[in-house]
Amino acid sequence: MSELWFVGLGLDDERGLSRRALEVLSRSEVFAEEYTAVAAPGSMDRLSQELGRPIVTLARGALEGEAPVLAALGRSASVALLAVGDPFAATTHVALRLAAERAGHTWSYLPNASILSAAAGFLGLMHYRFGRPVSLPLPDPRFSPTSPLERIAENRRAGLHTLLLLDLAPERGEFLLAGRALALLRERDPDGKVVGDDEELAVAARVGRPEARGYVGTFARLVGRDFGPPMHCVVVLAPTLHFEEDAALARFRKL
Amino acid sequence: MTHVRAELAKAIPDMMRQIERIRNIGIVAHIHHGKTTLSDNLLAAAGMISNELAGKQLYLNFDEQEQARLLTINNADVTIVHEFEGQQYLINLIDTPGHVDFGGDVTRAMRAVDGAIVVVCAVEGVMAQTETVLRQALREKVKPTLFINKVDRAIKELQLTPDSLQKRFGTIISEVNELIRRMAPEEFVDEWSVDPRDGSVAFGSGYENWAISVPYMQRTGVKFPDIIDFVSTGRSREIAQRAKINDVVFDMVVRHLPSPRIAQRYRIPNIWKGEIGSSVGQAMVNTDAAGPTSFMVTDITMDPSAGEIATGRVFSGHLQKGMELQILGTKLRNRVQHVSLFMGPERLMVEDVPAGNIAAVIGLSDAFAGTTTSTIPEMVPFEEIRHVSEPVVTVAIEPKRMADLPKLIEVMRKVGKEDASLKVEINPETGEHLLSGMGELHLEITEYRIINDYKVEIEASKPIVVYRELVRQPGGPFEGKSPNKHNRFYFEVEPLPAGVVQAIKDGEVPQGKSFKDLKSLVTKLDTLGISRDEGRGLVAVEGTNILFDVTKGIQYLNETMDLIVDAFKEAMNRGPLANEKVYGLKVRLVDAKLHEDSIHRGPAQTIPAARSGMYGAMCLGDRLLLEPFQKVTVNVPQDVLAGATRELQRRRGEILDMTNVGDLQTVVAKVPVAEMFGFASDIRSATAGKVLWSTESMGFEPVPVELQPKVVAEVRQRRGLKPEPYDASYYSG
Ligand SMILES: Nc1nc2c(ncn2[C@@H]2O[C@H](COP(=O)(O)OP(=O)(O)O)[C@@H](O)[C@H]2O)c(=O)[nH]1
Ligand SMILES: [Mg+2]
Repeated sequence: MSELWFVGLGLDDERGLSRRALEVLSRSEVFAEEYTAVAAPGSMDRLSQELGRPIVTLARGALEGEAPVLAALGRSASVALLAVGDPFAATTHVALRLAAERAGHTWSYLPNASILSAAAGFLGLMHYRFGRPVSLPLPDPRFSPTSPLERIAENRRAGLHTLLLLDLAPERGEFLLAGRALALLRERDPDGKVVGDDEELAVAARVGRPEARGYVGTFARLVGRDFGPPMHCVVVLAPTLHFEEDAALARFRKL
Repeated sequence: MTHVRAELAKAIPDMMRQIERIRNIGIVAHIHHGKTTLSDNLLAAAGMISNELAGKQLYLNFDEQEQARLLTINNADVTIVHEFEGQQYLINLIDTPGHVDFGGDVTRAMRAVDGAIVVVCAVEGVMAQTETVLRQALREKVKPTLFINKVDRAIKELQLTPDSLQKRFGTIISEVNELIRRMAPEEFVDEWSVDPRDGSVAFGSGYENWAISVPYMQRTGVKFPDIIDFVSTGRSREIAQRAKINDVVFDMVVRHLPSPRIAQRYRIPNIWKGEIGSSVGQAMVNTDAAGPTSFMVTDITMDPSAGEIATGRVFSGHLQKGMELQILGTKLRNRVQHVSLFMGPERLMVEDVPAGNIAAVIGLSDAFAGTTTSTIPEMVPFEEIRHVSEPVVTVAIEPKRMADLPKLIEVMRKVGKEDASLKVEINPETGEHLLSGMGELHLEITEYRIINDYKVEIEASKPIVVYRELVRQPGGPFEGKSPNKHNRFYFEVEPLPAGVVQAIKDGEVPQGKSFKDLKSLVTKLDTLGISRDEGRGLVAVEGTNILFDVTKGIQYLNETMDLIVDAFKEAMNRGPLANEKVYGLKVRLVDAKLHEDSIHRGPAQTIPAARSGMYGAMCLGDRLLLEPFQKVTVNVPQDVLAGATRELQRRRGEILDMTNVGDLQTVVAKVPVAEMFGFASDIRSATAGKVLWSTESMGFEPVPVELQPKVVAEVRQRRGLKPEPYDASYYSG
């Protein structure tokens, strides 16, 4: 029986790890996944140096297949899975946790910042005013779901913000960036029934990092714009804002 | 009386406009019943080739290889002028293949003609392929007449008395009429039965060049006993002068087969699904040369000097040099460079060809056999011509010199275009160039063409049998999980009712995932054994397989369905047993559990999950490997019969029928295609060369249980897979 540690790296780089996390990692066989979000460039290499042990980055197929992690649990007393953000938030590794349980292992959880909370925090929006979050997949001729737009419409009808998470395919170096994501939304909502051209949205880029930037403006102003390197997310604002939210957003409107 | 060739060129342009006096006809027959010999002698009598050549040089078989094998493979067409009751008639005669291995071509030729001469050998009588070709004709509303051939043999070899000869004719005629009654379009069941008294049946010898019919006897005073007398005393040449084959046969054609004007009225609604009230619909129904042009390509041939020639039927408007035609189904337009009529290997260039005629066109380089071209870009194309059978044997082709590779690819595309019953697969990734056809002979002929006509030296692999996969019994529900474990799909499978598979093959249940008239499709499926409840869940048809969604009210399933269809297509084209195509499977989606957020159920998650669900359900249903069978008909004299049956049984053949006429034995057997390799030369030596034989596709049936594991392992290893297929537990992972 071994122990599987689910460790969040947070949104920036290896310096976002707690002392506790460093202590666990330094005595564990360490795996990392960077397909649901990416850490600041070079993070994993520096961390590996610092720990003095290898970090094996698993591709989606390998991690979802569970075999590499389960095999490690068979040979090492302590195994860690390091996930960018939080391991049980936007993308959840609960399936792996269940597999470890079935195999008779225990697990522990070291949470960290997730975009699910940090985006709102960065922009100064109230968590209590968010509806269900939704992801927007990269365009694929075989798959263009309508549920993201339906979700946004549903949240707006309820007077709530919508956090829009944007797809990525780091193995191909492809990131859905906010300017393109808004253009995709317009393609599927050509008449602006869900979000009109003159309604306000917020873009949060590189949240949690020193290079974090926020942009607030009408759909027409933001669509197609370049907001710098990934990762990006979008908040489709509720039809009305709380006065404190309005005040917090003010400084992003100027940019 | 028929006109000689020199006069033709002058007369034809004018005659093509006399639509009432045009006949478009084909000659169809069971193999070796004498179609080619008859066609040849008709042409000789019509002055198209010299008498000495006819019978020696099989004119319509200008493909030298084909002559060697005495098989008619490609359509070869010819135009003839014939005088009947003081009027001149233009007869467009289309030759059709005599080997049912090439069934695809026969069907295409039938689309271009309005009438047929069904040739039946007086000695053998009505045979399996007589029924097949008659069915093909009647399905296209092509009116039949009957020519009983080889009467000389019936007289000389069987030494029949006039009475028993008459009896024999009577049997053939009533068997043919029985087939017509069974298969003719309802409105013509009575009208189209053939009757010697009205001259819709003729008798004769294509070989000795004479023929007779009741009206001809009445007119000329030639009597049947005279004929028997002449023939049995070796004076056939004399009778050929008095009972002229071309007069008898073409009189029958003119009198009993319809003009395009009459035929298009009832044939167009049968073969064209567009709006009859539209301008092009009206032009076609009325064979209107002034209307919009519609030209259906029935055949593509390659001419060494002129290039690609498209032959087909002008159903409306006219074809003229320089005009532009839309290639329907594509965005392309082609310019007509030349218009001509076919006269065997030669063509007669003409200015323009009006509605109702058969024409050869150069310039339609984007057309395939089966394409409709029109001056109206939005015209509804002719219904796709249905193919009778699908390819059962494959060879991999390689050029001897690598430098020839680009040329080989081009040539393979061309032969695929010429012969719609061939399937060409060119895979730039694996570098594999596959040629699939109806049998070993079919592929050998094609290889021969590539080498001799197109001058590419090639190496062909040993022929490989095409297998299919199915299940023995219902299997499932089986749960397929997505790699991220957030989604689950539940599938059940079972064999489709045979009637449904047939309806898919006949094109009554269309391919794809969008159905224009779902309501009537559900009704149709209901009559074939798919309940309405299930039918309403119709999602997609791939090959001979159908996917139904019988779930109710599952959120987000609709936006995932296209991916499930992708998985279905993949699974049906690569079965779980040996990566062969699945044949006749019903797949039911019975439940699904989906992640809330779309990004967690995209293509990379849903496709493998659904595919595993289907594969797993197939494992539970007990997977079957199906192999193709052929009906092999062998004609041999009594003394070598034992050798012939031994040869058939040695090949896992099952004898279905044995009949004899005098000394001649006919054996019909069902033999797996896998065992037919090398049959041609083995049966020849087993019978001292005294054999005529033919094959016909019989569809797919399970490989014997005891052989299945071995065959599966062979196919898998050939594909570079491990010999044993995966089991259900593999797909539940
Ligand atoms: N005695 C005799 N032999 C015939 C007659 N017609 C065809 N044959 C022979 O039957 C064989 C097959 O003829 P062919 O025209 O190639 O048949 P197809 O396969 O229907 O085209 C050849 O050997 C012909 O010479 C006929 O009327 N009388
Ligand atoms: Mg022939």
